[in-house]
Amino acid sequence: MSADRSLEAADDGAPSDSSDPGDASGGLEVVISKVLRLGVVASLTVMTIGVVVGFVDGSLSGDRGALDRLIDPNLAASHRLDAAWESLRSGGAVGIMTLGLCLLVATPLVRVVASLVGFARMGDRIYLVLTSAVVALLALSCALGVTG
Amino acid sequence: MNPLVFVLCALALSALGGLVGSLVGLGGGIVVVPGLTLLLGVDIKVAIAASMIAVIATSSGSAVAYTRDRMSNLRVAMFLEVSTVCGGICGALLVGIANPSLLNGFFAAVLLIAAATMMRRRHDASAGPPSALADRLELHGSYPDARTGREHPYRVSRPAVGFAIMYFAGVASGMLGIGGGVFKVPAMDLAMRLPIKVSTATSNLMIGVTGTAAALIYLLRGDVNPVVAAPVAIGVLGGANLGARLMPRVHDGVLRRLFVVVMVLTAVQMAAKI
Repeated sequence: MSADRSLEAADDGAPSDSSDPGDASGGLEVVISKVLRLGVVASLTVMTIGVVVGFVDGSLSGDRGALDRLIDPNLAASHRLDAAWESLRSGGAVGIMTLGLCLLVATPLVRVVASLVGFARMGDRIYLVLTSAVVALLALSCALGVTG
Repeated sequence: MNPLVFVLCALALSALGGLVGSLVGLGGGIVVVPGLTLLLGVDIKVAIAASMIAVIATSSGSAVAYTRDRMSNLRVAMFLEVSTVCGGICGALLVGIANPSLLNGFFAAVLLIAAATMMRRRHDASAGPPSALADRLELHGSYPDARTGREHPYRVSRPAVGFAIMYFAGVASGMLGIGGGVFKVPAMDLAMRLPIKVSTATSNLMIGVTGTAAALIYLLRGDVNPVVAAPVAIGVLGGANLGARLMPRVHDGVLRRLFVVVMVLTAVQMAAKI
């Protein structure tokens, strides 16, 4: 791979600086893949435990009526994070599943922060600026409360 | 249907959504939303919130393999995320102003035109014009092809055009509340001339970030019902992981045709809302 990269760089007529950008980026890709795997495995494990707990403690069992109550669209209040936290503290299935969902949603954010650190360590100013802009825009989007 | 059957059906349905989504670079909402509402009787708002979770699950589940195997282009993703997140915010702010029927009609038409163009390009592997900006940003790369066992180098064209289109892809996802991969892949394929596999894998990496802002808000508002979303996420993660393993062995032409089918289906879904 590094041979291909250097060939390409020669074709570009680009200056071949001491730090091979191809290799450094390849290293970052491995780090990001590991970050994502950690997030995926953690959330998958927690969500699966939540579903199993639900079947064991009876909160996910019952008949058609029980299902209708479980997926009732007017239950939003009981799915807020404060309610889920209460459920989690008592080992409830809904709390455990919500914790897993939060881990899942946090994973791409951790990925962007890992990229930020990676580009900073590589001294890649352009991508440090681009990645910082993405982080700032995500923060802005959450602050505005808009979906994007 | 009792809760056990419901959870098993949601798992199976979402696994299919994750498999398709990871191959074509979208969140799988096109399978998950109609499946949950039409087959399992879930309310549309609950289904859409679960589908935002599915977008993130598809993205992370497939990107584990795609970034490790260098199938997705990290630099292209970071560069384009700036404009697509910008577009997403503008789109969400504009939602109240524009006429929804007009919007759905407009984006459905755009999708059909892009689908026809992508289908025509299936025998055209020609590179676009060279770009000094792409050189400066070191966007070029290469990806492994498991079928031939060779490394395929590629060069990125027209990054500024891709950047601009990606802004409108972001506007579309913000306005319509979708992951937007269906607009991201054509931008990379048609404008930037990335190989189809790199386009879909890079789109997969990107939709996780665009979806996260939306998913956070859904979670905070209590719109995410964990009884629906957790089985969906588990199923999608499994399907996406399988899709990402299959992708290197899938023929480019098959992938392109599958993507065009998904584009047309999405256009039909949008047209139905006019």
